[in-house]
This record gives sequence, structure tokens and C-alpha cells, in this order.
Amino acid sequence: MAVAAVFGLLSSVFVAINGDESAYSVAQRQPMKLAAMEGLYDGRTSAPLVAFGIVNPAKKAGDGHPAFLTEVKIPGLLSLLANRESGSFVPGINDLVFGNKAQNITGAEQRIANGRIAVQELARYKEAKSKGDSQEAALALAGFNAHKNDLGYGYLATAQAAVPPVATTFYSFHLMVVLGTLFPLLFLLVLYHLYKNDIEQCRLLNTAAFLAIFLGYIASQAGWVAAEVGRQPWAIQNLLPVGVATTRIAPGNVQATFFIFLTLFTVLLLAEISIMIKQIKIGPEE
Amino acid sequence: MLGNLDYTTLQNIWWLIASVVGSLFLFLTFVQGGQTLIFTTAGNAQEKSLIINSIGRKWELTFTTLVLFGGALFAAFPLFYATSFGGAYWVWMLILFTFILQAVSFEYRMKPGNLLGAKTYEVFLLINGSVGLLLIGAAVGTFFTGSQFTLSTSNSVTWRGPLHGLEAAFSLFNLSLGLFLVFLARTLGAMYLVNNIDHLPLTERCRNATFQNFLLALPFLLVVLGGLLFMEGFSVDPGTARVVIEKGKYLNNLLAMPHLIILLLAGLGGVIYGVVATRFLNKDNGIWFGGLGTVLVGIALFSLAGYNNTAFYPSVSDLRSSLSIRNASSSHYTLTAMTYVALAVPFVIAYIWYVWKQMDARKLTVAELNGNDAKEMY
Repeated sequence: MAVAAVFGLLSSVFVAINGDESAYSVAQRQPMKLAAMEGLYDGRTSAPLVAFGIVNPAKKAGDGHPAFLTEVKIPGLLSLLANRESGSFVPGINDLVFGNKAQNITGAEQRIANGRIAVQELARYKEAKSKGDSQEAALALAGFNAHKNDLGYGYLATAQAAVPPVATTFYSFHLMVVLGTLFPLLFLLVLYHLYKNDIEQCRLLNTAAFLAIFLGYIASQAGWVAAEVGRQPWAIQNLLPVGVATTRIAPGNVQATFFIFLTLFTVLLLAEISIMIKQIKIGPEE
Repeated sequence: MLGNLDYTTLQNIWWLIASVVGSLFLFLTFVQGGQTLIFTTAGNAQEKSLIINSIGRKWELTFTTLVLFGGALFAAFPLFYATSFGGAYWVWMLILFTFILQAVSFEYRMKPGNLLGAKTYEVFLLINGSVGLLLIGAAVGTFFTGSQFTLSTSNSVTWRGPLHGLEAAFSLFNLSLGLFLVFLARTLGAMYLVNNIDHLPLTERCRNATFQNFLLALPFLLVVLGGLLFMEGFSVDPGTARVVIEKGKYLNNLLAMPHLIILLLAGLGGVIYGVVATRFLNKDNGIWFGGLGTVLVGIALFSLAGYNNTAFYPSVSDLRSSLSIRNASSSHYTLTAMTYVALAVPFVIAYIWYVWKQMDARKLTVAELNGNDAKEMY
């Protein structure tokens, strides 16, 4: 346990550094994901970090509903983490959908208009190329290049489609953060009792340490959910929405694949658990 | 240095790299061959364990080489990867499933409490060694026979056919290539076991199995080679990129690239010598001749499919959608960067060689199965 706790504590330090770096990178490159992770609709300077909150399920971008039914905030922390500058502006979902002139943010509505031009110019370029019309191709290419950073928006039906599922992103992100904060405390507690040499009497702590094995898996999965749900609708940020990137194959095929995976892996998992339990019963070699 | 290579040269280099890796995989399918030999050539449970522990030390190499083959194609010819995996969906998914079964079967087969019993895991190994290889052969066969798909202007694939890739197995040529791979793998597997195991009754039977399986592979090889000499192929006009069907295309490719004839003949000669040496000359080193021969034959086949203005992933329903190493490759920049990375590959191969030497320093014996390391055995 001493090895595990020391290693866990060191890992927690690295995870914290890594998490800080990721948050900064997300804020710079995927501001919509960050806004969803924090349930931030109206961008603001000195944006607070939500320590705990219940997302309002009825809330949509642009309506007047409150974002949370209840929440506990830490003032100013989000600005600091996102931009490494206290008091800085962090854009919210509404800013990214409808634009914010004062902060020089182009909203999804405008980007969809730009993107549609990029899509059209690309088609025009390809057609001109196939006809061998180099003058027309050069014109189309210039038009495309002027709008290419918004290419992916051209495939979105509405500006709302640029918003990922907020509740899933918010909860999975916060679950990960809460667990990630809990683990180092647990490691410290274990180390303290190891030092006091009474770890074997701490029944509750031992149970918690055992359960933490599974909480580790949950934290890791929650992180993936936050990363992948939060990035919707993009396969490639701003350039390729997942709806355009998918294979043209009937859903039945994908469903069948899913259930084959499910069956196969469940059976193999049961076999694995059975083997493990058997080995634990056999016990270590004398 | 590498930055000065022109685009065409880089495309050619990467097709060669993918071909070499794919051909190494074909050699390493001696593992799959061994997995099926436990049903036909092992006399008892102990011999089964000898076979499984012998190939069990190598299965990861085969698996990673297959992944590397897919990876090389993905990185160097992404349009092929996207088209084939998205379109010929089921053939690739089924191949994947058989390899999932393989990986755990080695580990679980002899473990107490493994839920399904040793026999089930042996059947999983059989499925991978037979169905898995057959499907890989059928999929590679479509490099020559073509598939039914169209690509949109944005390169999105639409597959014309409800089976999504499984139809590949219903062509005589593809099926023959698949069955050839299955029996070639068994031939190589038997040669490998002769080389790797010290247990007389088993190695004697493996010597016989080498010859028998080679004979079984022959008719399928003849169908494949005969087919290649006479079949139509898909030719790309280098100027206009138009794809047309050309009579005797692969024969023309052979004549245009005579070094491939040498590769092919040397490769076949190597395999034949390996078989003869193992069965009739009582030698243990046949696998090296058979293995090298397999690699040479593989390189020749992939070269026929891709070089000399040939579409290596032709579409029979829309010739314009056919893929060649020119229109399916990554950008000049990506290929250049990848080529720098590929300079490290010889070091990886040297490492594999070193590990292999260490593993095979002594032959596997029954004594080892029951010895101090018995708990470490598969």
C-alpha cells in the first residue's frame, strides 16, 4: 500500500499538471467544449469555476432560462485556468453561437454562412479542375481560401448544431475532477496511517481504498466522455462534422457490430474474472 | 536529403514498404498455421501444448506485423484505407473478431477456471487460423479482381452490394488466394515446429504435414498464378489518370518488370526447397527458406498489383473510382515525414531479430513444459 500511495500521489501531481495544460489547450482551441464543460452560456470576464451544479435540462442557447438549477461557484478561477490571466474573458455558449462583437468573437451563425461559401467554392474548384478551366479554378480557390477556416460549419443545419450536449459534458467532466481531487486525499490518508502503523485497524479506509480501484476506471472513462461528447459535432475541429465523416453504411451493420463486440467482450470478461478469482483462491506460492 | 525526393518516388517507396511488411506478415502466419495443426498433427494433449507454447512465443509478432501493415497502408494510402474499411466493412470486422479471439485464447486456454474450457479456446485458434486467414486472402484478392464501390467527389465511399466486403470470398480467384494462404500457413507452421521443437514423434509428423499441406496448397496457387497470367487488369493512364480494363494486364506487368519474375521464381523455389529439405532431407532449417521464399512471392504479388500504372484497388462498378498509388496516397509532405520515421525501422527489426534469437536459443522440450516455469506456459 505504501508503494501504491506514494506512486498514486506522484501520479496525481502529474495528472494535475497535465490537466492544467489540457484545460488551457481546450480553452484556446475548443472554446465551445470548455463552455459546455462548465455550463457557461454567457461569457464574462473573471469567469467563475463551477465546483458543484445541477444543469437546467430545459436550457437552450439564446433563451432566458438560468443555466443551473443550483450551483456552487469559485469566483474568477475559470478565467485563470483557461487563459492563465486573472480577470480575462472566457466566451460562453451564447457568444460562440451568436457572436460577440465587443470581444471580437465570430458566432456559429456567421461561420455557417462563411462555411457554406467554402463548400460551394470547393465544389466549383473541383468542377473547374475537371473541365480544365484554370482561370475559374483559381477564382474558386481564392474564394475557398478566404473562408476555409469555417469549412465544417457549412455542413451544419443550424447554429444550435454547433453546441455539444451540455449536461453530459458538464457532469462527466465534473465527476472526473471530483474523483481526481479525492484520490490524492485518499493517498495522503493511507500514508498517514501507514506512518502511524495502524492501517490494519482502519476498516473504512481499507474499504475505500479497494473501491478506489473502480473509481479510477470511472474517472478515466468520465474523462473520455467529457473529451468526446464535448467535441461534438466535430470529427476535425471546425472543418469536418462527424455527420459528414461517417461511413455510409446502414445502421443495422453498426448495431450488429456493437452487439458482437458486447457479447464477445462480456464472455471474455467473465472468463477473465473467473480465472482471476480462481488464482486468488489458489493464493501466492509458498 | 529525403526532402528532395519527388512525389512519385515517395509513393513508390511507400508501396514497397507496405508490400514488404505485408509479405513479412504472410511469412509470420506460420503462427496461424500452427494453430490449426493442433487439430491434425498433435497426437496428444502434451504435443498440443508443445505446439501452442512454441507458436505462443511468436503470435504477438505476427499480430503486430499485421497491424503495422494496416498502419502503413493507413498512413501512406489513406484513401484506400477509408474506402476499404468503410466499404468492405464486414470482411475487415470479421478478420478483427478472429484476431480478438486469438489473442485471449493463448492466454486463457490452460488457466484454471477459464469458463469455456480448453477445447473452446482451441476452436477459437482454429477459427483465426482458417477463417481469419481465408478472409485476409480474399480481401487481398480484391486488389486484382476489384470491388463494387463508387467514391463521391468528397471521397466518401458507397458500397454496391449488401454483403459489404464478404462478397470478396465468393470469387474463385479470391477464394483460391485465401485457401492458398491457409495451406501455406500450415506448411510454414509445420516447418517452424520442426525447427523449434525437440520431440521426435511430433517433429516427424510435422515433416509429413509440411509436405501434405504444400500439396494441398498447390492447386490453389496454380489457380492464383494462372489467373494472374490470363486475367484482365485495371490500367491507369499516367497522363489523364483514366482507368481502363486491359487484357492480360498482370502478365504485361510481369514482362514490364522482369525483376518480378526473378522474385517470384526465387520465392517459389525457396518455398519448394524448404518443403523438400524438411520432408526428404531431414533438415530443420526449411522454415528459413520457406519464410524468405514467402516474403519474395508476397513482394512480387503486391508489386504486380500496384506498380506499372496499375489500379491496386479497382472498382468494377465505377472505373473512375479505382484507387492507384498515385491518387490514394498521402501528401508529399506526409510521405516525406513518414520516410524519415521509417529510417528507424531497421533498428526495430534488429531488435526483433535479437529477441527471436534469445527465445529460440534452445529448442522447446517436454521437460521445459513441466519444469520450473510450468506456470508461465500457455
